[in-house]
Amino acid sequence: MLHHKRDNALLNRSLSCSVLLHVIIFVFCVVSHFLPKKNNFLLMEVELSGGGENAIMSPNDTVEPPPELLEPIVPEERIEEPPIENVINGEGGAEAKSDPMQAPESAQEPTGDMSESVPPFHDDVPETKPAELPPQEEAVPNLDEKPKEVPAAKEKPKKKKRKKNALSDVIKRVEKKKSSEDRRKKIADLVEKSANAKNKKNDAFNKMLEGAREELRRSSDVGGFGEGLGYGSGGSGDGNYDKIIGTQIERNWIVPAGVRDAEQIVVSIRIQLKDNGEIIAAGIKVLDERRYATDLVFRAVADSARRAIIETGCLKIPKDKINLFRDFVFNFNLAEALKGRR
Amino acid sequence: MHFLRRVIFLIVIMFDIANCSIVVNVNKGVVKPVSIALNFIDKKGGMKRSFVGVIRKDLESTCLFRSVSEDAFMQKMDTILTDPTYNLWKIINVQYLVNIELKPYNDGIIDVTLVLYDVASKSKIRTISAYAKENDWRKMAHMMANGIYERVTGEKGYFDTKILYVATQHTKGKHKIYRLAMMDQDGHDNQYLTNGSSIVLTPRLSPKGNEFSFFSYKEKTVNSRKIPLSASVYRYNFNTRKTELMVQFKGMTYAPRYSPDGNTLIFSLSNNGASSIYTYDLVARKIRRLTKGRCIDTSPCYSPDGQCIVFNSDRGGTQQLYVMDTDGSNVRRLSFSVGRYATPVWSPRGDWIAFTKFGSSGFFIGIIRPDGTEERMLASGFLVESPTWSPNGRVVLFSHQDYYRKEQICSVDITGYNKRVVPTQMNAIDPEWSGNIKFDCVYRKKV
Repeated sequence: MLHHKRDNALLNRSLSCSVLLHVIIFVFCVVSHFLPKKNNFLLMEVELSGGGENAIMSPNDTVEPPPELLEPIVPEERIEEPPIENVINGEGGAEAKSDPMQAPESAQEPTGDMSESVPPFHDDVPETKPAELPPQEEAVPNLDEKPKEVPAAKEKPKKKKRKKNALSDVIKRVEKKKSSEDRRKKIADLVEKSANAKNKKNDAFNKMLEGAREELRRSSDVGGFGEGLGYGSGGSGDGNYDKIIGTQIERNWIVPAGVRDAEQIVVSIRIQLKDNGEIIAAGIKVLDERRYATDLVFRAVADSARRAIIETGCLKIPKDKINLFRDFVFNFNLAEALKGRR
Repeated sequence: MHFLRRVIFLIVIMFDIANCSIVVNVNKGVVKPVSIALNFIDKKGGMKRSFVGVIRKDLESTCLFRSVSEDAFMQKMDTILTDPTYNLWKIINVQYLVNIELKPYNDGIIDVTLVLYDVASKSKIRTISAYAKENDWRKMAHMMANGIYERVTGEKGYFDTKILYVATQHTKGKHKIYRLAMMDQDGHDNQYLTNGSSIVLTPRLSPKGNEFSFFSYKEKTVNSRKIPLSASVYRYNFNTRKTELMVQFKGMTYAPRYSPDGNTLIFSLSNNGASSIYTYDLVARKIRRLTKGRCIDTSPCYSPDGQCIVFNSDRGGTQQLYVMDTDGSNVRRLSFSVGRYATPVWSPRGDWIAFTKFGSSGFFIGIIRPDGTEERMLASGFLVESPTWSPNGRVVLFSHQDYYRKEQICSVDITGYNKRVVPTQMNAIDPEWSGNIKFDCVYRKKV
């Protein structure tokens, strides 16, 4: 009983630990799922245009991107850039105020003859700074310069910190739980080992109990004794009879090993049963009486077989099949019994 | 005619069986000793422990019997005239009950009666009664043990047999002494038959029981080298207690054995590097050569019916077993597996041939059917050799030498189980098991 209580306590502990761990992991998953993902380009959804037949676009295909992707990934305030001076552009500098995302005029595709519109490059032409792109979140900040403060951007670092803190907290908590779980498991293993050492002594007894229970079950399970094994219409020589009835005799048959001419010895004994399966002692008869009287080795084997039947005493046969076994014959095959031991 | 009777009987049985609708086959069993209770009624006094002890030791040495302790007996029987209460013996799982009564008959003569009961079938199955001199009580006990063994197993007992062997002893000068000796099969009553002045080997008992032959030679030391002289076959007569030269030839003669009738001696004779098998008629005193050639043929042994001879030969390239007819014709090979074979001995039952096998994996004692099938090993060791059979063909004795050169005689059952050491006073080799010895001092009564 004590051992069962201990086992139960150990089981409860391990169960509670596993439940706790599962809850933590679930919480972590939920938290990470509901965190904002917009600024995380790794989680950005990239919808492939088409699909199926149109999975691969050709250069001439034009597909309108979804509206959300039309928004540029830029800060909310647009920084006004000074006009790009000395832009080699035939149309003048007014157009320099156009969208900074547009490529500089110089990068536009030339129209017409190149030699006419594009003036020759001179060394004294001052180099112009390329248009500075607006700062993006993914841009690597310049460590030398302080990042320009953007009112809207102030919230984002905080969010980053929160994310990091939450993540790290969760990870720390999970790791702590894991380590404590490992410790508990080790302790539980040690306790189990010591319990097993004591349990080993009880194993033999438990086996005996199991064997006794099995015997009881077999003896009481009369109804299910032959079910599904196909007694059928009777007949002779079914392997089922050997298994079911023969095994009851086998355990009591002390086989004489090393006898002469063992392969020629098969003892046939006729027996009769009462209604309850009890063997009638007077009805045990060795069929080959002549050989029993003349062959001493055969007589010794027949005596051992008869003794096995007497010691068995009562055969377990279902009541509905008892009529089949009122009068039948046992064949004791010495050669088969001594296979590998002659 | 006998075969015809058996066939008719089988047909009758089959009809009988056919009348019964069901036949159940029992193809398995348990191989374990039978439990036996020895109840001794000592009316003389002082002999209980020793007499029962001999019977118990004989039966338990076979590993077929397990003796139940007297402390477990639930019924005390003071007489053999009344039947036991079988249920009281069944409770303690006794399968056979033996009641032995010993009482004085006359001066120096004891009267022993044995009754054997089968507890399961609740019946008396055997009674033996005999007189003997009080000094021969051991022989009487062996005879009683034989009676129990025969009734339970159906085979002849071997407890009343002797073992002939060579006792060896190392002297201080590292010189080894060889002496012929004889003892009971349980190691008692040891007697030395030679004085050790010459080297003796391979003693072989005559089936007639009155003599045995052996191989002997004397040595001469020349320049600290030992040179054998006149190696020949001798015989010893139990009645006259004298040793005489049986046959002497040019060359070495060794491995002598008797024919089943005891009138012929078979041995091998080596000359110029080759060895052949010869027979010597002890009555007509004529010699006959059976094998020829430049190979080594040795260790011949007759079959129990005297029709065949088994021997080992290297005519095929390696040392293997061969069988031939008694005239030397129809030689056929018996063994074909890896290893070398030597000292074949035919079982008294005729169903097995024991041999020594050796190779890279060591030494073995094995048995093989006369047709060359079912070869299997019974024992192995650092050096095992010279097998000999018990008279009932169930037990094999052999020489065993361990790594430290301790020489012993061991026994093993034909099943390969029950390996035992036979107790001897000194180191022992070359055992030879006698047949059943008729004890003139024991007289059976009609019961």
